Amino acid sequence: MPELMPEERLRQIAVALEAVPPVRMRPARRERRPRPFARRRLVVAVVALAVAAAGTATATGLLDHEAPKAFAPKVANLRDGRTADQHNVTLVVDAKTPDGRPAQVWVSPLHGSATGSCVAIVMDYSADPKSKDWGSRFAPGAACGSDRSGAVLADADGSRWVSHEGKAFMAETANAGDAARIVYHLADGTTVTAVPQHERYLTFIPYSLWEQAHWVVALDAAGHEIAMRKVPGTANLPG
Amino acid sequence: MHSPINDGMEALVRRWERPIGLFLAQMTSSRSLAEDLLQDTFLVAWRERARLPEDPDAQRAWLYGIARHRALAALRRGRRGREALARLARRTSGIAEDPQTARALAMRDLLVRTLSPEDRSLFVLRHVHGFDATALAELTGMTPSAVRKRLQRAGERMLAAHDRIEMTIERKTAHARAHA
Repeated sequence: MPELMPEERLRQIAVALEAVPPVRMRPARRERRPRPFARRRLVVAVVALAVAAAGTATATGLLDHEAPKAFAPKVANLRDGRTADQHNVTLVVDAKTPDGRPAQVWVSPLHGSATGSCVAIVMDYSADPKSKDWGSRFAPGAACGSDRSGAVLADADGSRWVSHEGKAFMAETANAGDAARIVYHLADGTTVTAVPQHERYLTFIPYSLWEQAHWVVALDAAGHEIAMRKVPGTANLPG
Repeated sequence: MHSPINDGMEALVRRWERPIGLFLAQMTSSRSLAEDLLQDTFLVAWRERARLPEDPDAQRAWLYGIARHRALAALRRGRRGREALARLARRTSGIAEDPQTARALAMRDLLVRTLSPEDRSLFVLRHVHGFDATALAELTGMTPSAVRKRLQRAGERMLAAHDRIEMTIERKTAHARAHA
């Protein structure tokens, strides 16, 4: 067999290298299936219960574990039959809605979870009864406290929330790992920054911008990126 | 809801995800690192979108330049340990690759072992992605003659290493064929 010229051999190496499987962008894990009507009604009912319970707690000055305790098992049961430990709820984020009202994230461990998963419960203690979409969502992969089983930013989940002025927002909560700041880079070039508490954050994104593709970046205290995810737009998806 | 910015970025990702993803997968043996770098590349492109050239050739060079820069920076930061782990994981995973992929990955590993990240990027961009010396000079900030010299040395080193390793590659390919 005649010996090949170097150029031809280099071409063969290049041809071999062309068959390396390319990497792809990681898909965001946000659930984008339309919520079935029955389940939607159930969520609304649960939200109403939670808001009522929270309202009572607020009225009596007892903003304690009772509302999320009552909420935890109901929320967890909405998906895949797992149940949350309602006797073990922990407040991890104390934040405010764009209206300046209190909003919180609580976590509760899921029974039977080998990975230390928690359900994250978002509570709006003074929710407008008209904003029934708001009240609770949960991230099944949420890490419990210092448990690091949940991937940073990957378990983001949210609820649509409407302000008193009728402006729609998406409230998002996710595991922030060691991040000092979470920055949303939105389609109009603006950013929204959230400061995590207890390795979790809660933030409010204008809904019209949340529907468009955006990036979420976790930064450490020195400003270095430690995690990021691209969230494809949902505005043009069917259903 | 459409916005020109959003649509433009989506189109950019759609158009360039595969070639840039291929380039990065050829630059490192670690798929997870390559995936991180791909995300980083488009994140930087997103942040710097005001500088995105409209001309398709210039756009291509700009994106490859970002990807290369991110890859070199990451490899300099000493993430080789992750590459070694990724190779180990692949060897021990028991997942049979098809012969063509097995050969491609063996060749990629040879490339990673033989050439420095800088030379590797030049070699891959020249021989796989079709950038000529002039375009590479523009992309890297080197002179065209410096690029040619580095490419020549890199080619010679790759061929020498390839001679040494050919038997091993053939053995791996045969093994994959037997398990495919």
